[in-house]
Amino acid sequence: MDLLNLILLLMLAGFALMAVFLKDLLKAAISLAFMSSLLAVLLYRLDSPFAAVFELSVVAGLITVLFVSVIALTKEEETAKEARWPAYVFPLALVVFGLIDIKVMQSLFATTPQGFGNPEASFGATLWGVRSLDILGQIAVIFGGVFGVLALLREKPLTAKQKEDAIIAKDGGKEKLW
Amino acid sequence: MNPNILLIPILLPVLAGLAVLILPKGLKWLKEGLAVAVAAVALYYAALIFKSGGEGLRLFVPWTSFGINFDLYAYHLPRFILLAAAGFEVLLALYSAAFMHDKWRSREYFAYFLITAGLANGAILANNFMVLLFFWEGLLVTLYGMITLGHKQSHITATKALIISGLADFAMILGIIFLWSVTGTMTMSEVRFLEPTGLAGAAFILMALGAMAKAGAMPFHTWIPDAAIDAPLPFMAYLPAALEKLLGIYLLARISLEFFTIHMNSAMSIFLMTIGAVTIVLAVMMALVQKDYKKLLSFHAISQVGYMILGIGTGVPIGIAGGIFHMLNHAMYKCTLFLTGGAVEKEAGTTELKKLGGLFKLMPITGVAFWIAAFSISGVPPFNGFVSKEMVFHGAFETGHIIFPIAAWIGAIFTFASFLKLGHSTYFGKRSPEAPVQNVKETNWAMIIPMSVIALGCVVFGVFNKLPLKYLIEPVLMKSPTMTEHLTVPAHGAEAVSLAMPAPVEFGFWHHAFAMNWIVGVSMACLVIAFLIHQYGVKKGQGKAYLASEPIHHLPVLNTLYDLAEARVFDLYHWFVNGLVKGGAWAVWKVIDRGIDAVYENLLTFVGNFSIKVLKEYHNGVYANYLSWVVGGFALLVIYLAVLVK
Amino acid sequence: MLLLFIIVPLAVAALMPLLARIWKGLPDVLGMVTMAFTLGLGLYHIRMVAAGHRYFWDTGSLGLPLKLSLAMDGFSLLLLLIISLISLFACIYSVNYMEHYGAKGSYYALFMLMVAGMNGLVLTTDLFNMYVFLEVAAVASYALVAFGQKHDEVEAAFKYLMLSVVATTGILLAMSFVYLMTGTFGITDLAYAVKTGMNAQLIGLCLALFLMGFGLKSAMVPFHAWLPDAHPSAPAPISAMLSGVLIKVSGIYALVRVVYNIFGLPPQVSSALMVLGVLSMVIGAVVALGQNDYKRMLAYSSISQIGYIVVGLAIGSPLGIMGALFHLFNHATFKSLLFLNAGATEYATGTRDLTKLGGVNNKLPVTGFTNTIGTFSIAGVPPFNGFWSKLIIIVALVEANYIGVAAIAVATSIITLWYFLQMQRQAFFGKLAAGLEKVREVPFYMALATICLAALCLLGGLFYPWITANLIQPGVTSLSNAIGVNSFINLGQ
Repeated sequence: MDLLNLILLLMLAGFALMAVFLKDLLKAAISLAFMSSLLAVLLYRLDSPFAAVFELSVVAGLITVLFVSVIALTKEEETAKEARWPAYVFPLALVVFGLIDIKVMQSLFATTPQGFGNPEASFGATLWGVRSLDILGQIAVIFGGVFGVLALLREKPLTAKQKEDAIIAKDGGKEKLW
Repeated sequence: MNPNILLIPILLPVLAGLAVLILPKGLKWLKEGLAVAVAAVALYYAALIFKSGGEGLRLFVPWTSFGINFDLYAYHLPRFILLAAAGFEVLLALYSAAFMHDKWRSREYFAYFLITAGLANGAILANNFMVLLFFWEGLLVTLYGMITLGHKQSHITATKALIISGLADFAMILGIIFLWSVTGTMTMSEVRFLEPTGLAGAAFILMALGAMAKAGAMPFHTWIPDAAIDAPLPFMAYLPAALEKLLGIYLLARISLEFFTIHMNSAMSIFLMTIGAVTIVLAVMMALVQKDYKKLLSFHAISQVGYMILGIGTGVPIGIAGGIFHMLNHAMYKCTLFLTGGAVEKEAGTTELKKLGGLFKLMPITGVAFWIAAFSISGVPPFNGFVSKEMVFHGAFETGHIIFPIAAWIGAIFTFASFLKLGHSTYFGKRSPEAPVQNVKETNWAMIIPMSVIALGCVVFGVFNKLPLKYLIEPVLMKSPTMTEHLTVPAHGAEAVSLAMPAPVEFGFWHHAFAMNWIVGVSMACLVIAFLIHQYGVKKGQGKAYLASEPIHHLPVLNTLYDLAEARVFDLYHWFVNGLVKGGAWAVWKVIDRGIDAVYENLLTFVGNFSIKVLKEYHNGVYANYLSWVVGGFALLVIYLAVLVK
Repeated sequence: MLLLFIIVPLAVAALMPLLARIWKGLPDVLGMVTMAFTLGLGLYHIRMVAAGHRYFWDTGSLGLPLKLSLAMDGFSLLLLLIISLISLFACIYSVNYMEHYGAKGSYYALFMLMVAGMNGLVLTTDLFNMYVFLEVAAVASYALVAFGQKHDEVEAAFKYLMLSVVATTGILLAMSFVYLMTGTFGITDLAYAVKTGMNAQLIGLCLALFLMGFGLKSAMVPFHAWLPDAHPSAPAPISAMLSGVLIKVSGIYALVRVVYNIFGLPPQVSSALMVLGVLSMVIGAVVALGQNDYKRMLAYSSISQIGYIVVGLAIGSPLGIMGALFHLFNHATFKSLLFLNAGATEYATGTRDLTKLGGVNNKLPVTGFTNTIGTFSIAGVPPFNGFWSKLIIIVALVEANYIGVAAIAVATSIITLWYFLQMQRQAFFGKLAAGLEKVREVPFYMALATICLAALCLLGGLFYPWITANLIQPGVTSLSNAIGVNSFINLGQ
């Protein structure tokens, strides 16, 4: 079981790295979605089914939609030349961070105080009874996503010249002939 | 007397200024009338405050926490300065009414004029550093506004003035903050006689720089000559010549006499005297080569500040008294000079010296006023400038550093020489063929009254010099504990004053101690040298200017002067450039003045551009770069907060 | 009813796209009315808060099964007022300005969401709620930055999004550490729990994460790089909201709540903040000096001004906090004024490239005048409001013996004056640039918004004692009480 978790975690990290390093933004966004899905699986395996569902629906679903739609709007090729050194420095930084992380985590878990919270309380009770403001916030976030997509995918208002062109196109240039 | 009276000279002009802005445009003379009336009322109340006597009036209103209170205090020095400032405000208001009423954006001018008056009065009366700063900085805004009124491109000069003054004011703010951290109080009257060492020394230098910059001392002067050309003329008489000198020297006096103690020949004393001496000599050299009426005057406005700073910086009672008296005198004669400049500009249509000439006959009152003021500024007895300059010479001599009186004397020589030049080329000689206006006539009464009143004052203060010294200067200084502290034998100070200041008409001073003779003698010799220099220069010029051989010798008294007056500024200037001053004045102009300008304009720009370029290259919009900054910054924070903490 | 601050904008946001179909003008009216309502609600609370009262509100009194609890002290109220005030003027301005963008319904919906998110962030008493509302405001702002749909705008929004994600990851990680160690999210509970038992090293790690996260949200150097792209790309009223309000609420406010009220400003954090503040102040100002794009210059200048606020907060003395909070308020007014003016200039002339502008002061008298006031305010020229707050910060620096930093702050304010005067000269004064002969003054509502903000700058300077006493002082009290409750890092030493 631990081994499976570890494999999932490594795959997750792999997709995360791909998301960062892939040149194609669309592929990167999809890698991110995969990463979220793996995270959802991990959460499910760690006895947090609700978190898994939210992760899957909101992050893997909604935010990916936002990403992909935004990327769809950026058609032009990236012309800025990126520096190459981050490609070498970031993996190194990641390794260093990982080492520190392991060290810190070990001491952290050794000193974790036990017995807080209420393990018996149901998810629903916790959610509605204690964290209702978060729900409000989540609703707002979802609204934000929806409106954002609405706003960004709207048709561009036509300029005066475009309107003229449209009329000409529609009438087959008759008006212009007059 | 009710201390609320202190609010009147501040609020009344400011409110009237705001009212002028919203008055309907159609009403003729309303704004001018309002300005004069308000200034007159303010003068009345300033006189009341001056007469109140005693320990003075104090208005104290708690404002915010942290020791910042609305605190006004009119005791000896402030109420004297207030009276002087209010007097100039009235006369300048009258003059401006005549000069400015048909000019571009005159409504704004009068609004700024009145607001400036109120703010200046407030700065004089302030007894809390925050209140002082409030008024002091507010003056920057009106300064900027008034300069922009000159013509459409004046805003460039205005910006320069704003930046340079702002720079100096920031020095002062820093100084005030240092002072506050030393003393722990924001109330000005509670800061008494600190020794200027350590942080207090830094505070002294910074505050003194701020005050001297207000007065126009080097190296904060470069905007003044530009403003002379670009700003409306009454502005020059109003701010750089009168109010800013009063304010700057007033604050310098309070700093060096009240807040701190300046011992003779201490480091601070040498610091002030050096700035004073350098300002005198360099600015006067520059004045000498100017070819424009207003520009020449503006360099003298800088040069004369040097005398005041030198006087106050001596730390010797007679020098300090001389410095403060010189401030008053300077405000008077320089005001007159600028006003005559305005009259000449208005009537003759130009201020370029080569296009002027022979105006004395056409504008006799203006001419007389000019010559009185010119003699005053040059230190010719019996005018007021003579008295105060002698006092400064004495003070400088008493310090034992002979270089300082020598610098002052050099200044005296060139001051007189340049005013002979200015006077000749404007008022004597032939009318220039290039003159833009042919039928020049005397200017109108509203402009004559201010200049003749002030010119008369120059004579009165010179002849009856005991009056101002006894009733204006002495009470201010003798009641200051610093002064008595400085006087080893208190009577000696008073004695020195009376020794130096016998009525000059009697020439009684020849009978006094040898030292007195010697110093006055040198001063007189300076005037003679100046005259000879001028004569020689004119003679040289005569050789070149053929037309000059037809002298106009109809004014019998000034016959001799007339003979010499044919020479134009150009010749004199050439003579100086090719001869004595080539290595001096011109180099000073090029290297020092333009050099300082270059520091402001080039060096700062260069340093700025360099760092901008480097930083801009890093902000190249590449996400990985930006992310690496974030990660790097985070790593440093972690190292600092989590690792080092153990 | 503190919940109204959140619920009303949220409800309006939800209904906005529908209402926009009923009548074209409705979104404008609704936006203004909503903001005026929250502003009125905020003003209503001033008197009691100034008297030292602290408002609590929870659903227990309503007998609902939900549990919501909100609180408001002086600091929260100050931020609420800033949000409502600037939003109101941004809405007024949008009436004309957003006309040519189209889709006003979506625009106002996102706008209201951003406001609801910020209001929630300011009112909540729970650390995790803070994170959620932070994201609400952030998601809305990403969409708003890209609202113009042009390539650059979308790219800037995306960059902003990607860097913000790093920040929020850090914040979330730190929050989970804190929760893991203490078992609570309530700010007051946390303050107690942190004091009683938490590994000093771990606290250091959490603080570093918080500093990075909120530092990025508030655009401190070196976490600032998203801002100069994102703020200029947004439509002008949104730039004003982002620079004027959002970086302060989701950056400064949240940081201060965490660092002051939970951790009690340990000296190490204070010095770290000082370094970040000075870096931001100087680098922001120097880079601003080299910009030709008006809005980009303003964006860099925001970084510089945030530096002042952070430096003031880093001092930790009551005077320093007062200076910082006052500057926060003032910066909101004059920076949004300047962004609105930049928008107005672009609206009228079609460009915001300073080299192509020139002499528009005669053509745009209102914009030129209000812009001059904004310039004076931000450069710290008396008697405008920026002067007093900068002065208080500098005084506080000297008082706390940071003489060097005080000198840097003074020098930076000179640079600020410099580049703003340079901008004034290039864009507004001087000779009219070629091609701008037909420029006309901006429409009524845009002019109205800028005039109101300019008046606010002036009044804020003239009546600063009233503002400091009634708006700032309660905030100072609630923050300075929190300092020093926790000297955990000293325990580790």
